Amino acid sequence: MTGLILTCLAAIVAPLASGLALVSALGETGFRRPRCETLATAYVLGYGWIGGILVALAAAGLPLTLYLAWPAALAPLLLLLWFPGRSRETTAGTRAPDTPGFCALSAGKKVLLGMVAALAVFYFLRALPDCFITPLKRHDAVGIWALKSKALYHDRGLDAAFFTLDRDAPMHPDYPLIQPMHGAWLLLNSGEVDERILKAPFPLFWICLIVFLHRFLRPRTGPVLSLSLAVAFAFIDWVYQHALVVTADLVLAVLAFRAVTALIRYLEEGDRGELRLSAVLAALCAGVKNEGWAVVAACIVVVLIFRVRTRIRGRLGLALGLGATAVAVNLPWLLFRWRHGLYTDLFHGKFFLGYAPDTGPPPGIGRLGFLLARALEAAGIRTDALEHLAQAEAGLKTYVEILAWDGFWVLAGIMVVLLGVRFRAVPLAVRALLVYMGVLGAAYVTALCFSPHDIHWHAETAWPRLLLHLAPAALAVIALIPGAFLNSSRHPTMGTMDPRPKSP
Amino acid sequence: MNWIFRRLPLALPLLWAAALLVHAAMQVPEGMQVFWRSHPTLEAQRHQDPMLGSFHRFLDSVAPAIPDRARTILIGPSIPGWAGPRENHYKCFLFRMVPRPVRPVRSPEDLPDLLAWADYVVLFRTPIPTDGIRNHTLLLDLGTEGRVFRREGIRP
Repeated sequence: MTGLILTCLAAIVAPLASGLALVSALGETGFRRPRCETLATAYVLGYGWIGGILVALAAAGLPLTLYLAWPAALAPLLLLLWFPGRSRETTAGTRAPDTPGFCALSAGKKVLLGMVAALAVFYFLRALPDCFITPLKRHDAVGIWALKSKALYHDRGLDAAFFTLDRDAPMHPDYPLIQPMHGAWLLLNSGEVDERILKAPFPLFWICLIVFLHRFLRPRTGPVLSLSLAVAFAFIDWVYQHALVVTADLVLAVLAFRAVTALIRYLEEGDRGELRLSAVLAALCAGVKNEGWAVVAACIVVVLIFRVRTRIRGRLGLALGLGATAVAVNLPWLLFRWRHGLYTDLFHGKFFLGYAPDTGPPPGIGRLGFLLARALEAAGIRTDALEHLAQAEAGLKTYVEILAWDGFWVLAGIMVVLLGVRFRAVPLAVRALLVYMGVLGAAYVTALCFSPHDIHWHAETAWPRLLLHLAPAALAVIALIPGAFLNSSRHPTMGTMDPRPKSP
Repeated sequence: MNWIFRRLPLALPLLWAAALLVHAAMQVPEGMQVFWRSHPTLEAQRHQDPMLGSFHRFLDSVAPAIPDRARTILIGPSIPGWAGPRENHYKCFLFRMVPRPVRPVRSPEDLPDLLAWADYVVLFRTPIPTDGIRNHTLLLDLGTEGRVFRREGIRP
């Protein structure tokens, strides 16, 4: 029973408490956001803080015990001694001026919003028993993320042997450890290895995603479109399934979206608190997955392009600040990784997971092409076309899987075509999000091109997950495009937003 | 025509969202079963999930034979129906809900180093040679359904 209470405190109360203190220290107007957004931001910040500080302590060679971990997890509360004024703003619950309350809406909109919100709450509650009854499902959860959490818990810290012993183990030994360390923190509090406990943060991240999407879009599109799109997006099967598994993709997607939207708010409103928040969240992205460094790079590019009223030195300073924050936050892990020579297994060796694409037949229709190619090859006939047939079938499967995002990417494609018609009318937020997505997507495609593995296999297994990192930003773009087509007086997007950046 | 063109970008996302929300709402009665019925047991979940069934039955058959907190390695080819049968493809896992970590192993060459670390090694229908495995190593040669074919080398 003690373990259960401690685990609940560790999973919910500790991240919220430390996160609220961090928001208080970072934000200038952060606490003038609505409470739900402040709480969601606090949770993801606290999650990152706990994982990051425990990684730092473990990298320093300290054994992870409850007596060390709890003070470290709650250390940000000390910041309230330095920032008491901002903490009082929290209790006052002040609102941002551009967000009218629920009571100001018409009765029809209230009913509609209530139904959509109830549906989201129902699915959140439905996710809980599914999380806490069923065992781990995906390979990445079993073989990588949960494995590391259990090893960190068992070793009570970072045992270099675990990361260096199995040179061919497909567990990404060079991947950062905030997510597994947070899992180890939960196991440490529960006092036993129960992999169902590792699932606890993921429904909360799912809710945070809805909150961030809704709160970012609401002042720009109105509450009906923002909440409907945010909840519908969270119901996409691929997104909802990530609320039920132990992987780092949903965590990275949520952190990255909050980071880039904080940056856009800084560009729009000149709120330096949002800039600091963006820098820290982007740094946490780099601490969750190596792909998070692409998020940091994308944020830097956005600042360099859109901070137009600042001189180039100022822009470079901002970019440097973003990069330096990411390095500083992840320095303990980077040093540990460098000291022990942890390699990137995605670019290592001829085969991966024992899969040799050149020696085995592909599944499905492509198998026919493969077998025919081998037969003709034996007869001395060139078989390039048939080889291509086999590869084309594998590629087609990948794209069909992408379309299986409940039509989301089809919708995104249509909206981007429409965007081309009125590109000059789109607000700064859309342009910044498109640049962000472009940099992130280009980084992923580049990494894919350098992969020594079969590109179709790599795309098939990695792309649907990588698209999850881009999808929240894509949804925001989809939601903001209609504003460029409608009359500014009849659509809040064009009426309330000033695309020009303001000086801080 | 212009009226339609101007509202099309708003109508498309709304229609998409409405379709997903209605679909989700239609699933609610099914989801309510989670609340008003007793929760399906873990065992029932495993039987419902062909992907996990054999793997977890295998773990259940092994777990009682190993003391708590023993450093244990699982070695075996892909779990059937889970990652697809691929030759020479070894995966290892931590035990589910048992406090003992397991190192991933892909090839027999990994074994000597791992044996210096592990207390127990469990082979899962594997062609890995057993030379050099210490006396106290538990060797269970298991079938795909977790049935014990052979048991030897158990610590006295």
